[in-house]
Amino acid sequence: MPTTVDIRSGLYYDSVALMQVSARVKGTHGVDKALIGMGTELNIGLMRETGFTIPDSAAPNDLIIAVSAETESALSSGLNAVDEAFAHISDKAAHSQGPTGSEQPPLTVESAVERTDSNLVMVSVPGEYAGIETMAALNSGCSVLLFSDNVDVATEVALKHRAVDLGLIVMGPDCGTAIVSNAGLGFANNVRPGRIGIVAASGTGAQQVSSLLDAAGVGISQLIGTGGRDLSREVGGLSAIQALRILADDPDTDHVIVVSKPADTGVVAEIESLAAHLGIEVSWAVLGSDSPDLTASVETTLATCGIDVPRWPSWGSGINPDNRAEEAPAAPASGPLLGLFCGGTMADEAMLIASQTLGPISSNIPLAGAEKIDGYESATSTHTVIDFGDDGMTQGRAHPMIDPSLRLERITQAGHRAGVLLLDLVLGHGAHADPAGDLAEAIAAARSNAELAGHTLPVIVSLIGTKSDPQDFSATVSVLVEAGAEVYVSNAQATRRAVSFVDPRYAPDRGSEPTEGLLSAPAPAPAQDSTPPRPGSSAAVAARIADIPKPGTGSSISTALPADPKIINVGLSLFAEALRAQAVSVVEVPWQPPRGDADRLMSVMSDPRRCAANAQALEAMISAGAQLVGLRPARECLGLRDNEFLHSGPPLDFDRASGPMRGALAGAVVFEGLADSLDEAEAGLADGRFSMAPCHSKDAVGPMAGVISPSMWMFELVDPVYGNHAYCSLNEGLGKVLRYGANNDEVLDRLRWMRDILGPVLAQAVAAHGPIDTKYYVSQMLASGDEGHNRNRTATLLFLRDLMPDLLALDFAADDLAEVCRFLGANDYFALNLVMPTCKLAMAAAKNIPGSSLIVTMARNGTDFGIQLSGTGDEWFTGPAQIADGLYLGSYGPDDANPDIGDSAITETAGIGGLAMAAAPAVVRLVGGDVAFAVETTRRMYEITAGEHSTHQIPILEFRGVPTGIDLVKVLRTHVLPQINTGMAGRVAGVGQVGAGLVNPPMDCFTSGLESLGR
Amino acid sequence: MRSKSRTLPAAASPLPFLDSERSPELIAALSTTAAPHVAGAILRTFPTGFYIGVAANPWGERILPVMGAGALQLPTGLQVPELTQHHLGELRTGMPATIILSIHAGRPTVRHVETGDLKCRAVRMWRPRRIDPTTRQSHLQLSASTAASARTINCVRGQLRPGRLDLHSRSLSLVHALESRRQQEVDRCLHELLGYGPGSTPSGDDALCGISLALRFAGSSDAHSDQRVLLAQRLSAIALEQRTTALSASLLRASLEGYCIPEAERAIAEAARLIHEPEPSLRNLNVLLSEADRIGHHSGHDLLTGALAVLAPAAESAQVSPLEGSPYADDC
Repeated sequence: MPTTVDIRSGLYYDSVALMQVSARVKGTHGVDKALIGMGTELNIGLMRETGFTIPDSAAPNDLIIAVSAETESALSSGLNAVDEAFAHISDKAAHSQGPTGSEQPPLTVESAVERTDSNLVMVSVPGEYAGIETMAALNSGCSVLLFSDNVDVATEVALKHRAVDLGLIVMGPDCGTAIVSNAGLGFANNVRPGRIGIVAASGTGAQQVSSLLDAAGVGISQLIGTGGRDLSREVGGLSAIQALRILADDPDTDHVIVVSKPADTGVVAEIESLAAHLGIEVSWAVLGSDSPDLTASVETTLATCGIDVPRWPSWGSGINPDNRAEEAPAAPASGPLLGLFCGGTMADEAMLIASQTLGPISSNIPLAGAEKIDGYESATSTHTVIDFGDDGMTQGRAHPMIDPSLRLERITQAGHRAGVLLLDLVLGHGAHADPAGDLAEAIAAARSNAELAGHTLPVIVSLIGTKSDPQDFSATVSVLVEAGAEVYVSNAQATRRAVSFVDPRYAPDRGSEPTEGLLSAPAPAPAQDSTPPRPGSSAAVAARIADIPKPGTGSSISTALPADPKIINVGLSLFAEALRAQAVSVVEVPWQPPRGDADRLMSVMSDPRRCAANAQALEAMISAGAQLVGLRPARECLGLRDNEFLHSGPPLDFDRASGPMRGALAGAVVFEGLADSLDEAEAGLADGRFSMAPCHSKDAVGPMAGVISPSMWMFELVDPVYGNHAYCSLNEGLGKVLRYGANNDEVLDRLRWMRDILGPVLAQAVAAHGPIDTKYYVSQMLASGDEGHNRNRTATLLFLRDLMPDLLALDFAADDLAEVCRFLGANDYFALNLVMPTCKLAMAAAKNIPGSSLIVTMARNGTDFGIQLSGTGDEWFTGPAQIADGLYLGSYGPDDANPDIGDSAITETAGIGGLAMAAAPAVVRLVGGDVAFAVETTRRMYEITAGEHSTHQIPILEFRGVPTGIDLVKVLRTHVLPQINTGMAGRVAGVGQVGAGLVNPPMDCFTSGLESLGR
Repeated sequence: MRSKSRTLPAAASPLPFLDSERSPELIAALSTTAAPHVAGAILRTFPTGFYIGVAANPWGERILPVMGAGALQLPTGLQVPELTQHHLGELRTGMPATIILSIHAGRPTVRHVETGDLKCRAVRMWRPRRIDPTTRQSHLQLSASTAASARTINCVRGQLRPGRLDLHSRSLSLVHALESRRQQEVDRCLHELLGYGPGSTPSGDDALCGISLALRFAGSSDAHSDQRVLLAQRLSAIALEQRTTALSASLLRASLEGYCIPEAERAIAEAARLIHEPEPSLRNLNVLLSEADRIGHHSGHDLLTGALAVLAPAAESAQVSPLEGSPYADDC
């Protein structure tokens, strides 16, 4: 087989770059083997084992290219591939995206709040998940407009209580409308600024009221939606009360109108009493069988404020100069009333009015005593009103104000059986950009179908909008009238007009006097005669007021409801677009359904302890110190019995152990002299003669297999702040070593030397030196291009520098001391075993804080990946360990690699390693990326962490602290998994290291953790 | 690349662009035209916005700050959240600019701005941050200074870096004059502060804003109300544009009505909280200083120097360190 060995002097490439080149050349057709590396002892040995003849003259500074191929041609291609691969490395350096990579968008509400000065969150994700995003916003100090429907009552109450506790407000759920400082959120009309505030438990009701006020020349200060259920007994008006408090504190609000669908009379009465204590005029537009309609309520408010009540405009066939519908006598309809509405409150109001004349109205949202029907049913023979915006009609589809297709279909079909068709059309921000054309077409089709069926179909439209709305109001009127509809700005008047076709006695009042009740009969204002009995005394009411914290501190409007709203939009992008068109700052957070059980996630996020617990845990991680205070054999410092062995990762039965774990454990048993052969050792491990437990169970950590036996020397570290201890074995170097599962004589001989020479020498040297601050090492590493997991050069050299004077003064043979120095200096990974317990101490300080969702352990045993949470004690949550994605030594490939293994992910748990990859961009070559990839990876990690470290900083990110405190909740919500840098062990026991790469934990660990934390 | 034809949505300040007391002829002339507009020029550009200057009255220019999302949100400015460096990159100082106005009840507000290829159209009014004394509880309830508050005040002062070393004593003199209602003394102190120091908002003006805002923050007591009224009266009698920059004059007038940037309100609130805490923490002091730093290189510290002259308990206010403002001032 053609073979070549090319030795190039004076060239240097790091080992990872050379692994990349080897991988590329091995992929060349016809190439059998390709080993390219610097002429180190390890590499030369590997090449010779593979069958290449390497001259003795090859030196560590020589680049050796050893390739064998099936043919000369293939060999030539392989060598060309070598040159191309090196050229590719140079080319990438020349065309790097730059040192800082691209900015990462915020992936959570919390991140958006932290990175921008946003102060209000708008949530429009599916209802099942809406509580999660809302709770995240509240915990970040922002009030929320919760557009989503299908949010259960218990969640609504929990959210509103949390908001009240924090001095914030939840506008919703199912809140379609708000106007905050002249910016319309959701579905809101472009009304003029003014001094009337609106509290609305009804979206379209609020739009009707604000549009009528605008038509009367009166402006709005704030319109605060509360969600349609807020005034129910279950919710108790929590948001309405908060809204009243906000408006009472607002210097720009003189008068408040409370708008609602039919509400619980007790709650209304209680809020009414509360409002009386707030020192601001309040009038009521609460629909009910004994209450005025919304138009009448607006007229009452105008009169109360001393403002003339205008004629509400209407248009119809033959528009007269007054822009009013002709007084065309209504011909008796040949069928029932059919109301097809987008707005629930418009539908309610229509039913309340129509039922006075026509009796019970069938509906998907029926009034008491009326028949409930399926909204999807086609036209019936009874008077019917359908609310297409009801929860049951919007599951899996957008609100009809955005997607009118379903309603348009029903309108088109209505001509056959309906006697009169009553519709609403709501304009404004967030609504369909041009709804009139399609609606007019459907109306025309319905009327045409009616004609074919032999009757005339009157169509009445209540048009909710203003002349400043983004849709062209005048054009909308024209096109609807042209289609044969009569158009009213008052839904009440439109309804009466429709009813008049069924019963002509009830034509809408066209006089200049304001209508005051549903049937034009004067109805007292709720504050007077119609007020339901008040459940509490004034003293009780005052106590209730006192129970509710004033929103924010100082000027409440500036905190609970920002004077200058800057919005975070989670969900429908059309709302963000509508806000941008109104010159409102908007940050959009990309959203996807969280992983794991949504109810459990909500439960965890609702835990009132969580925020403080996470802050406490984060503070502990950052504050914890780490000092190397000595070295002792494991039997002394860990109390290991002679037959007791520790291993990495979560608990493991030997029969499930992977190859490298079995190899390492068996090797350790032989090393301890407890068995004469590896087979005998494995048998003893299998039958329980030799016990095994996780390193973490003894406050220890171990890289890769992490096997610790009683006579192995351990670094002993102490946290002077919290008093915790942590331990780690001594690093054996690279290649064939026990931690990678190798266990031949070479490995065991080295372990014996470490036991007899290295350990005692280091123990005495450290004792002579005194405590060494290893936390300082971590900070220095990050400043010097190491990330603390796969690059530990700086800490290794710092350790050597610190220890050398004391070490050389020890009473040991000079050869032994020289060998110790050579061993440390030749092993860039030596300090990994100091960094790991340093990180272990940081995480130990953060353990056992009830309610905390931060991760305090990530560890793998080659079979399972396990995590532990601060809030769940020592419980492990596991999933299958993954195979790293990376580069392979020699001729090894993915089939040779064992799944992820080792306690070294404690570095990532503490915020370094893969999480701090930006600090060590050279590491990224493990996966063939570039510097920008390293930076982007670290930036992405900030999206799943609770904070940043104050002393461990990354220079390339302008000395930003490393992302610290991985939050289970954020992992589940963003789907971003912690990034781990790792070595790869061979699948077969005894092989040793086969490569290195990047790996992520399985999501199962996090979903399992959620199950426990959420219980 | 931005689309040159695109008009950016903007939010206008409710504060009138032109002052009816100082530019009555111009407003009257504009009111008679169908499309009232004024011509100006770009005075200065920033990474987050720019200023347009208009010759609006006999004493000087009127400034319209055009503010991107990252800019300090000056209460008189036009908010343009989508304004980016792509747009700003083509603007140069001195470029002509046109401001189209809308005039209702003699109050001109900005409707449209055009300069170069950039057009901004006001689609709504925004609500500048305003300190309203009527909604506030009095924060100055310490009748006698405690040792703790004295230490805190000295500590805060020691950390401030006002643009002029004697800014505190000048501020304190004005506060004492307002308290004693000596009109001539008030005028003298005002002249000592107006336009005092360098920059587009001189240190003395920033301190005056701090005094004005802190008097509103202090609550609605008769004493504070009287001082506010006196300050407003005496300042209104001065042609501010002759004494200081046009930008500073407009901000000063806004502060008399309580309008300010959010950072200023937060800084004053934080200062009031800090100096009345029984055990003030270093963390809260750092929060206060962070807010001050956000306002500007010196401006935030100047503003707080003025505000502290009002917020500090009276007995302490008289004790001015001889090392005030120097590197040797009271240390925490």
